Amino acid sequence: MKRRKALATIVWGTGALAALPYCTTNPYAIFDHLPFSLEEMEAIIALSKDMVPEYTDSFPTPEERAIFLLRMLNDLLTPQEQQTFAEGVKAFLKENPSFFKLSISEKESILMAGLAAENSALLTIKRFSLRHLMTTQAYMENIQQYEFIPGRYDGCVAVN
Amino acid sequence: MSQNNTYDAIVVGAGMAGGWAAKELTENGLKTLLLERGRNVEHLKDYPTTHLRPWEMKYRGALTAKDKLDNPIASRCYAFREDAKHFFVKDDEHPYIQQKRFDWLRGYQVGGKSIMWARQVQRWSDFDFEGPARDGFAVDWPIRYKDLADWYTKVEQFIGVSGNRDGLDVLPDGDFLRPWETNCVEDYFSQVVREHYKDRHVIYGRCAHLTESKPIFVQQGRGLCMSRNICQRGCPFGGYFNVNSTLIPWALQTGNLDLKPHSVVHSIIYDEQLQKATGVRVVDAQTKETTEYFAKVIFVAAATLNTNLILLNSVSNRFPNGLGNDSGLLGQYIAFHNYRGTINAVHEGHPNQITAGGKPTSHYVPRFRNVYRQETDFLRGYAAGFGASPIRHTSTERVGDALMDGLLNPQYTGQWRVGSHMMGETIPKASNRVWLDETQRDQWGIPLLNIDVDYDDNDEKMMQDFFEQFTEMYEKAGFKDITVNDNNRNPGNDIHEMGGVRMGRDPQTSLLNEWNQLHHCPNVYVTDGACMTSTSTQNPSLTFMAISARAANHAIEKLKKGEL
Repeated sequence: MKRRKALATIVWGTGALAALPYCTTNPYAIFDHLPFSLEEMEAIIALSKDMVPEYTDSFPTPEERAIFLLRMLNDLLTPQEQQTFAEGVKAFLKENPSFFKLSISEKESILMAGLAAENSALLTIKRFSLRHLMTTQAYMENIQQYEFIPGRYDGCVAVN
Repeated sequence: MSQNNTYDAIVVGAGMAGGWAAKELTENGLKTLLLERGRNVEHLKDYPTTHLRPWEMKYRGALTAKDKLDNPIASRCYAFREDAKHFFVKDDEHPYIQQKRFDWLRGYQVGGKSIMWARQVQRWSDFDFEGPARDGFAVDWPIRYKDLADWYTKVEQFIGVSGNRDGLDVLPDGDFLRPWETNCVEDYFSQVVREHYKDRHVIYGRCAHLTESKPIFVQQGRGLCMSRNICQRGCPFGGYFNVNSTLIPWALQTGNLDLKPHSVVHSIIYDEQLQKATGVRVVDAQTKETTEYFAKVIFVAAATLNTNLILLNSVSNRFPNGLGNDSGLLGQYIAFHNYRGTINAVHEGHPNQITAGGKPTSHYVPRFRNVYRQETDFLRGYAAGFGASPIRHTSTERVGDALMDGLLNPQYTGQWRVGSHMMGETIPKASNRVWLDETQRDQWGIPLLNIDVDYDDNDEKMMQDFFEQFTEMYEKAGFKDITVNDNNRNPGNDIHEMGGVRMGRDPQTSLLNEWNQLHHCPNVYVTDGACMTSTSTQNPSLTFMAISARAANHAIEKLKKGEL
């Protein structure tokens, strides 16, 4: 009995070790529809934070920005939209190979130009990132005065 | 409850019409079987999203690509979102055949679409019941407003309707709870319209929400509406009317109701010797086994097109074309509401006012075209909604810290967004029809429904008139940046399909008599939208709830006298 248990432990442990490199190399592997490398995913996440800072102290979120963003890309976009998005990201990174080494103001300048040119990948990243921030409890309740249970309607209130 | 599956009454469909029939029948001591093809949804217990705040939803309310792919039709409905999609049927599990594009939006569960409905309720007037006879379309309704007035009151008192007594002949007042406060721009537009037009009115939108407490609502276990505006999820307060919070528990507490979900009604059983219907054949939705249930009276309220389907599928030697279908008209004269036209604008006249809180209704413009006389090149007319809300702008143009400055300082612009959408009456015609497919069947062995329904020239002219008239009204109010839009919604997307089993005086031109009995099989009643001879402009639910209550009480009296 003890030998059987020891063998089972070895088997399970070996299996777990075999899986470990895969888990540690791609923490976003669950988003299996996305046609990106890990490097590209990390670039998308970084672009998101450059465009829409997280400010998690003031606006804590139920999940990390990375998880939310990749989930939205994975689940809300159709395969064609994901492909178009992926091409847009690759093109941006190719045009700006040193983007992540630039200063904040240089990066923002490039991003604003890309958004003005309606780069759809940048627009998509920004849209989902804004949604993540603007639907936090703190933002909705403190900035938008959102009330889950208003219990009333005042039809003519003076603007403060 | 039953011996040998036998009841006093069977009701097919646990939505608003069927729910009302079941309530009336059970209250009057009839052992009643209520069949629902979908699952049970118990009030409170089965509202999985009702307490979720936006940040608690995985996609923050959005639909996934898979949701849209799997549900190409349902996803066109405004209420099919992350928080309520579980109350809609899955399109691929419930196929039908579109001869022309038709969005058949369905909620197969106890409560039906009463869980997700928009709760707008208006009575019909004699301008509506007399419409077909006066204007020469369809057939004359066999009832008038006076036949339904007391039943409207009964329904309103039980479900709770918030409204204002406006004193309009075109839209009779009801038994109302107090209205919500109106906002300054709603009041302003109402006043402008009143000053410029004698026959047009912008009034409070009557809605099935509790704004006052009364003993009946306390007895129902319902509380006041809290203005959350997420009614489609089901309400933990019972603040709006749905069947689950009100009619089902009420009927159950009589001890006379046997509720059977997962029961797909295949057909009605007709006994040729007795010359009456004796029961229904039911296919268990999960096991696919067939069971027969029997009763003296049967109410068919499976929602308009399913009611048509069941009757068409109820063939016998006596009725080879469907139960009661001697006229050959069963499935014809399907109609709906034309919701295609919208108008939007900006109002700058109340820059220092905003609103606070929320309310589940906006304003309403009752029909004003062709009411007292024919005055246009199209028949009948349209009602419209009117909504106004202050515009608050949040600057999201920048990136980085500059973006945050904008996000942290949303500003009221001093402008209001205003808009209206039309609700046009469509003219029933024989070419708008449904029929059973000869070869294709669903997973329960029931023929698929062919749907051939479309707009016509009358609808197009009506929409153009809506654009013109409302543009004029908006201009008189000084609204700016007026834009009109044809949203090209498919028929059916209004979710107000009606007809196919129309009421009328003559069995040669109608299927149902003035009491909603099939002319040729009087122990079968049809009281949902299928019975409607015309559509008017008003939301239909209040009317077929009143019709159901009236018909159920007729059945009760007939049964007591042994006449059914």
